[in-house]
Amino acid sequence: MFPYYPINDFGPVMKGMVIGGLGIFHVFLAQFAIGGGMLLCYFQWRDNKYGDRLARRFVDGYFRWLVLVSFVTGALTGVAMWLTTIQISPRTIGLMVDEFHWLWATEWTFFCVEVASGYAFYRYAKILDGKTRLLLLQIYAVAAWMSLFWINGILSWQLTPGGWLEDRSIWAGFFNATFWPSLIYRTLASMAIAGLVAALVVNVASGFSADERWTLVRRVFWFLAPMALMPVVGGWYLAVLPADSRGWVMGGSIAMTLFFTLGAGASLLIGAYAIAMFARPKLFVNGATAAMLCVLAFAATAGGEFVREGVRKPYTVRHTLYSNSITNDEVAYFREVGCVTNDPYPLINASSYPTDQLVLGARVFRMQCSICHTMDGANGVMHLAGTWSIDQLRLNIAKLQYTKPFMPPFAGTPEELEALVQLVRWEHEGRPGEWDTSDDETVLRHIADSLAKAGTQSMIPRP
Amino acid sequence: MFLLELPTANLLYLVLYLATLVLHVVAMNYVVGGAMVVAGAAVFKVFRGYCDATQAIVDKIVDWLPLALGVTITLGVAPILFIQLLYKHAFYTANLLLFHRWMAILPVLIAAFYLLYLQKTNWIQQRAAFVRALVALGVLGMFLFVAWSWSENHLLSLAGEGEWVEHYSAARNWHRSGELLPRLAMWVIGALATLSVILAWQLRGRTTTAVVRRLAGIGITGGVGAAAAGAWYWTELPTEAKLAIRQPAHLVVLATAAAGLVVMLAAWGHMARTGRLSTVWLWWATAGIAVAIAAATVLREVRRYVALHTVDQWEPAVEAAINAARLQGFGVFALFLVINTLVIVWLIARVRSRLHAHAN
Ligand code: HEC
Ligand code: HEM
Repeated sequence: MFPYYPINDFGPVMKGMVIGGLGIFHVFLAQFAIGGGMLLCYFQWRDNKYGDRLARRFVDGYFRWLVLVSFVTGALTGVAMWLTTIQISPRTIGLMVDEFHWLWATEWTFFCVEVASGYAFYRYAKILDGKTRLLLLQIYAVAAWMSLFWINGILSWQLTPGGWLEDRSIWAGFFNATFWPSLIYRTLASMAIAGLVAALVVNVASGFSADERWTLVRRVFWFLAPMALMPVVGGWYLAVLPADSRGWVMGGSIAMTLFFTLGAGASLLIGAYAIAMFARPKLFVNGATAAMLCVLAFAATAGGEFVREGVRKPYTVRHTLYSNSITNDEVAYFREVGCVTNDPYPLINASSYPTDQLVLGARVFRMQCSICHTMDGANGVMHLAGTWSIDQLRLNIAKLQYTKPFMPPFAGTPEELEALVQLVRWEHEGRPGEWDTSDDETVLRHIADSLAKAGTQSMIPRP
Repeated sequence: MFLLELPTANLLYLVLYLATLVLHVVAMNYVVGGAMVVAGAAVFKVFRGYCDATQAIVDKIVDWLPLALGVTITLGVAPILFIQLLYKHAFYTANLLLFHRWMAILPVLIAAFYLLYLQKTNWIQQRAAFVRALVALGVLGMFLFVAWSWSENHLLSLAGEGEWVEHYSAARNWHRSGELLPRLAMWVIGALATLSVILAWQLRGRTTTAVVRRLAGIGITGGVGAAAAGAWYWTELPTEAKLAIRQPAHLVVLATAAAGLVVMLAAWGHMARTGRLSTVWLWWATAGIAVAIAAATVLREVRRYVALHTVDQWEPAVEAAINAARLQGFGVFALFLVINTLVIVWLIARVRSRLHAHAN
């Protein structure tokens, strides 16, 4: 039984953009919290070891920011990611929960440690001894990083499920090909983000003299030094990506290449500034520069998140579940039965379509295409294919996975396909009040032939 | 007893769901009950000053509310995980149908969080009483909205495909049901009972007779109010649910919940009379409310069981959970559950001992 869910209309926005957009915020905040934990450990250690009072003042000043911003918004955007994923693709999150619930539950135990240690520090640090302060910060930092560890395995599994495909072993899925490079990359990114935000905070916080600012900024910039490893780890990540995904990043898909370049370029600029800082001991980063570098870090995060969401296409879980929530086996089934035949949810605005065929087309579009396309907004099918001839439309949709390999195969009957084609034409003509229903047997036979030729498998070969 | 009829795999997830939900409810009660008391006191203060006892209670709550909210959210993550294992189709469908309305709980919670921190600042303390009342009412309104959303989502998830399709076709933003108000009233008023007990532990050793009586007042209002709301809820329950609850095993659970409440009420009654927070009686009150919450959470599941049965969603849900059930990874979870619980207990103990050392 295919699990039908009510599908919401996001207007002119592509659904993937919603996840990507929120994901950037969440990842940026979460990585800041992780790197921030490490940074605070370092400064508290300096306080304990050298009696560095400035370091201590920084910890007490900086941590309030960390708590207020990352605790609150980080935790809530985390829940928001979850609820948004349900909105976009309930079946994907359902599969992820089915496979990895124990690891997610494990991550949750680390959330609890984060809250306990973070809050204990926030509340009592001022009256605790140095050793206890450092212990609390260490526990906090480890717990925060461990939550990255767990979630990273689950997210990277979506792209490179590896051995899980053979035997459904969750450990084979968890420690997959992209697990280590993406974990290390994110750790480096966390440290860099924390360093940059700290440089900004030091500049805008009151209570530091110019000298003190200078000392602190130079210290926090050491957290950017590990960025030197990024090209290597990034290269490693690209090397273990599936060939098709790598191809899109390296020029195969304009959007993916653009986002990749954005991410890499922003990281390079930050890296260049860091090198300048290390090379010239007199150099200082003022508030404006720090803010600009933070914006660049945000851009790098944005590029990275969009690439991560994008390169999985046409799958949300590779070789298992297509972006439109249909599995491989279901494609063949829907070719026979029809993808919306048993869909209990009617169209909300069915009366605005002049014929039943167009209503059918709209339901097919909602089910199979709306996850990646709108009709005439972002990635609008009208703009992409409005000028195609009707036979071109029939043929190209019938062999959808060949038209663009990052689309899934069409999963419906010839009648459904023809309804979709009519819908695109009708939309292209400006939604006229009258429209002929097409039920020509030869056309349907032709479509059936094209569908049969295209087959029901994705273009992307399964290892 | 429907719990005992479940396959083992299912039962494991259900027990974890219920256990973590109880923890969420306890924290949530502090947040919702606390926001009610603070808002009530702030409105009162617009018209008249209040005594030291009320002040002591309000100060304590305001001080701890941000943490309590953080804990509530964190403890909500575990049941949200297990609910997806047990009832994903119903839960997701309700989420999707409520759409914007449902997603609104997130910005509302972020706003509420910052208002809670604002409530702690000196800046707000120096504003006029009506400004503070406005902030406190805002916070309360936000929490009530969130609580209401959870109840509404829950009831919609139980409504079944016929209702879902109707909701979707009509592009509704709200799910109306006679059960919603009494159900919400039970959670919200009952929150005061839990709050009173936690507050008593927090204030122990620094209380006056007046404070004890105020706390007892809060606790008794919560207990009696929850019982009254429960009676109201009974009148709104569908017949099948009433029949299910009348089964002997479920009646035992109901009686346990009632007994828990009675014990809590009796303990507060005693402490109010003596004007002292005695440790023994406080333990009784704690045990009473804990038992009542646990039993109420089980009864809540009986309601779901009946509803899903009625709309033919129960068997598929059980089957889906069995298919998803696996033990691989469970050991890791169990291990870190133990380790991390110990870490939390240890760090709290360590901080406490340092605080004592500091105080001396
Ligand atoms: C996994 C996401 C995804 C799904 C599902 C999907 N598409 Fe696409 N489609 C894309 C992307 C990405 C492009 C490329 C857009 C570009 O080149 O700018 C595309 C391009 C197209 C094009 C233009 C192709 C060309 O050669 O220019 C058409 C037509 C199209 N899609 C139709 C459909 C239809 C009809 C469906 C539903 C049956 C569908 N798509 C489902 C992602 C998807
Ligand atoms: C101030 C914030 C919150 C309040 C006041 C609140 C309140 C409630 C209430 C009243 C219920 C019971 C609903 C019913 O049975 O009718 C509930 C259930 C629940 N809550 Fe919360 N909640 C809050 C935040 C959260 C968050 C952030 C999460 C998730 C991360 C969460 C997860 C859950 C879950 C999973 C349930 C069970 C739902 C079900 O079984 O249908 N809660 N909450």
